[in-house]
Amino acid sequence: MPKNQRPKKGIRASLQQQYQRWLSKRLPKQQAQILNQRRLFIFPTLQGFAFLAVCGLVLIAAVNYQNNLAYIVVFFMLSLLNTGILFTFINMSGLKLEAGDSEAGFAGEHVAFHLKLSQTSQREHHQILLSFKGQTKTQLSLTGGRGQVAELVTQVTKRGVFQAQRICIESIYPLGLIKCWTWIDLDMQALVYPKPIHCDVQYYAGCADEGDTQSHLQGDDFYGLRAYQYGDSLTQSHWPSLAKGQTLQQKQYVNFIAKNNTLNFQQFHQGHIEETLSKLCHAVITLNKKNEAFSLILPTTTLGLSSGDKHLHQALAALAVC
Amino acid sequence: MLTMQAYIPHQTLIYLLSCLAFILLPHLQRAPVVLPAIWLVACFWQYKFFKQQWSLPAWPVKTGLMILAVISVWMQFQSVLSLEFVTQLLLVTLLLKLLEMKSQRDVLILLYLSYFSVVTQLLFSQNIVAGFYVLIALTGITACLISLYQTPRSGHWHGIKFSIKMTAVSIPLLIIAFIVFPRLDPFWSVPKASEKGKTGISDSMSPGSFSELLESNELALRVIFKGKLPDKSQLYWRTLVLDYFDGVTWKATGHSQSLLYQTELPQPFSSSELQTLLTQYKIIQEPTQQPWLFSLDTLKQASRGNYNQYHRTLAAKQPITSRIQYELSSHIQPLQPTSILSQQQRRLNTELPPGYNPKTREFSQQFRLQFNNDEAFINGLLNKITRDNFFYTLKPPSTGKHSVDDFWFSTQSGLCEHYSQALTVILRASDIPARVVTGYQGGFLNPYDNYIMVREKDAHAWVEAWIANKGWLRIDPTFAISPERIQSGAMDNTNMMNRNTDSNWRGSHSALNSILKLQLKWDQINFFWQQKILNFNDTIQLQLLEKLLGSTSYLRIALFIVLSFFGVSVAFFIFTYLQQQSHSKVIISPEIRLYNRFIRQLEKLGIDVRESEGPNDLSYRLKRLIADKSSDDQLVSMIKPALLFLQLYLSLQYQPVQSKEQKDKCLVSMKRELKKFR
Repeated sequence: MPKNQRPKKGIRASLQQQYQRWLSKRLPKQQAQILNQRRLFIFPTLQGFAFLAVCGLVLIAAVNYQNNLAYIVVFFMLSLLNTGILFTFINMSGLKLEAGDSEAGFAGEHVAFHLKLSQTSQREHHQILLSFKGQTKTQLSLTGGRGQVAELVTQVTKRGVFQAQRICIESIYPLGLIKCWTWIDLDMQALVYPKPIHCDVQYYAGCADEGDTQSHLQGDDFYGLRAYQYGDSLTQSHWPSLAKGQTLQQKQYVNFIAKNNTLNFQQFHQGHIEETLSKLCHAVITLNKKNEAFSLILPTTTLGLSSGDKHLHQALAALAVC
Repeated sequence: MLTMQAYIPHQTLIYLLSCLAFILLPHLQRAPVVLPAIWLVACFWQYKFFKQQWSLPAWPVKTGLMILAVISVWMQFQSVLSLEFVTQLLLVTLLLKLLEMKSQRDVLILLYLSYFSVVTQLLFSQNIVAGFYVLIALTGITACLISLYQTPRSGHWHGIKFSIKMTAVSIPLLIIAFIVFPRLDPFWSVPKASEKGKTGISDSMSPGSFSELLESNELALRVIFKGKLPDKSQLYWRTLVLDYFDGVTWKATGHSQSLLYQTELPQPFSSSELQTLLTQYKIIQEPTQQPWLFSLDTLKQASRGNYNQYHRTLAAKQPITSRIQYELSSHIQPLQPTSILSQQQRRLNTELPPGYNPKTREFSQQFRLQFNNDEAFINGLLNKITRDNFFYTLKPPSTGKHSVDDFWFSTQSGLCEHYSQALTVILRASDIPARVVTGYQGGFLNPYDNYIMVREKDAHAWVEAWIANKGWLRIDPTFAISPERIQSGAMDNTNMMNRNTDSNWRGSHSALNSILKLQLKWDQINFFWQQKILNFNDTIQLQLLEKLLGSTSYLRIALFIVLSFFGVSVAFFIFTYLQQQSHSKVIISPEIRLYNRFIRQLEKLGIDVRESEGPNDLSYRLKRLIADKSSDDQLVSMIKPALLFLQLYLSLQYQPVQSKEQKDKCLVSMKRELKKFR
């Protein structure tokens, strides 16, 4: 017995492999696809088999009572099942799917893909369910000619460029007895950033001194007060000081731009690349939250000193593909 | 399993409740009152549940209702194994399930149960109305199923409309499956619907046994003759020979032992020479709950039943509980001499109970003396009935112990039973073997389908007398009554009117009134239903397949099935495609179509119209073209109607309130401008 168990596992794995190979041959990658008879599979659902069982019971009654009208009821039910196949198929066929953009995410979290669905003819498409394997399903119906965008999420584990799996598109409309489905590959990709890990490395050592800052007396951070001068904007006046009986004071704002926020891969590196990247990722996010500028030096690329969301995403993308 | 929403759409709830009421309705004539009561309770409870005011009933309520329902069903039928009981129990289950229905899964179970319980109605009634009722019920259940999965906001009637569509698509394959599917023998025996009372002619005859029958319009037989129709006067449908008289009742001897029905008639036709003389016919007999079959004298061959050679009647082995069909052939004319009468038979057929009807017996013996032979004696008797003051009435006066005495000498009015009984007694008193025969006489030709309808009111009794060298001779004393003495009430109820004189079947139909025509048409439809659908069996199946396919080889049948599946699918796809096309045509309004033509025309003239360019922009551009001196005159003259066209189009498209007349007027002028434009 133990001898048999190992090959069995092997058989299952190889069958799975064969199936995947067959699937990729039959339903190759394509950014836009229209569902047709070549792409769709059809089979009764569990409810459909229960319905068949009821047909069997009615048939037994018909035979035992030699009742031709009961025979007709059986044939009606079986014929209805066949009609169900036609209607379920026609509901799915002609549906056009296009790969949309995707939202990047951090490893261990979810990324979202957008799918554009549209009708290729007057035919409406009802109760379509879309999902990645094992993930939550999105339901939508296409009526009235307007296309729709479906958002599908899937969990990602590894940093890098994530290649989306095949998408399951299914429907049991209108009877629930027949299921029509397909597994299509829209060749969609998403960036997966490293999972942020907190670290104690003093990457901004020596940069906290405000004496080094360039003050542009215009900015977002409160800097101090000075006496009001003619021509100053009243919106930046400090009214409470006037109330206290002092002369009118003017608020001053500046932007701090740290010169030495340099995130160097080598500085963080402690033997494990993924861990290093995760720590860098955390640092990048933290600095962005503080609205501080930073530069990033990676073995592959270098990003100059800058701040803002665009810079953050560039940095994260660089970390993702490093 | 795909997502099974927990909640039930309110559409489904409404559909399901009305569907169940529809299924329940035909059972109400048998069901106890509890069933519709449970339905009402369930409706109310589900409504409250839907409004989230109540939760579904707790188990004591459900158990209580179940016990109540089962007990009341049991009280109604008393027997646990009867079909009625089982059916009602199924309905009870269905209704109680309604009380605990809270998820889509429960709805599915209910719907599957409903599909099954629809069939139970067919075990009790299979007529054409029941057939269509069931089809509607099935469409309704399917509508419930559809409403479970439909897109919200599809509309109230979406489920029903879609279900009708699906039913219509399903019917071709239904018909093909009905024709092709092999008819199997029952797997095991099942409880049948309990027997109804016996109907038709009974196995005995006593005063008054015919009165009820003669007033009934119920159908007894349908007969299809192969070839020429015989004379109506020849159609004496024999059922029973009553040869034993106890003074009150006439009975058939030996029927209880059914020993006399031993002989089986030869089934296949033996000699072709004989066949030309025979009249072949097929009888479709309504259930009577009695074993007797019908035949014409003299029966030669029968596809069913056992033959009694003494009585020359046919009977089945079991009482006839469902409509049956059998083929016969008889030698109608002339009566063939039969074998000699055995001593036992002679004694039996001349026997009279002592102490009854003394006056009649005395009269018979004296009257016999006036004639030379038996035949002359019989004719004399028939003449007496014609001459004397004998009446035919459906309401015969009652008679005493000596019933024949009272009839023959005092009341002198009655039905066929009185006349045949009197004549038989008189003949027997003169030692002539005689017996009463019961059955039906004549019939009514349904001109729409060339078959003869024999109804209960055609029930009749006549006499047979044994004449040496001639055998049993049929004598019908009732027809000896002179026509003017048939009382008017009896005229329309019996076929006394057009009796022997009317040998022409068609003649009597010239004056059909419209109600009768409708009745005949309805009977024809029913007959078709019974013949083609209810009676469809493996024999008919083989014949039909042979006719359709040329042969009944498995290969051809398999090919037929595959092709029909293929055909239905192809037809479906073509139809959907065409529907889409016509659908898209409907959307385009006439003014837009005209506008499109206008654009094409413009392009022919060399003015390109961009996709983004609306009619307003276009008219500005055209105006500028006119203003431009360089453009040639011909083009300018063309553009003027074009501008007018655009103005009309804009007003039609964007001016909100317009009557239909205004719109039509506008369209007409648009067309005019477009013509100028060319």
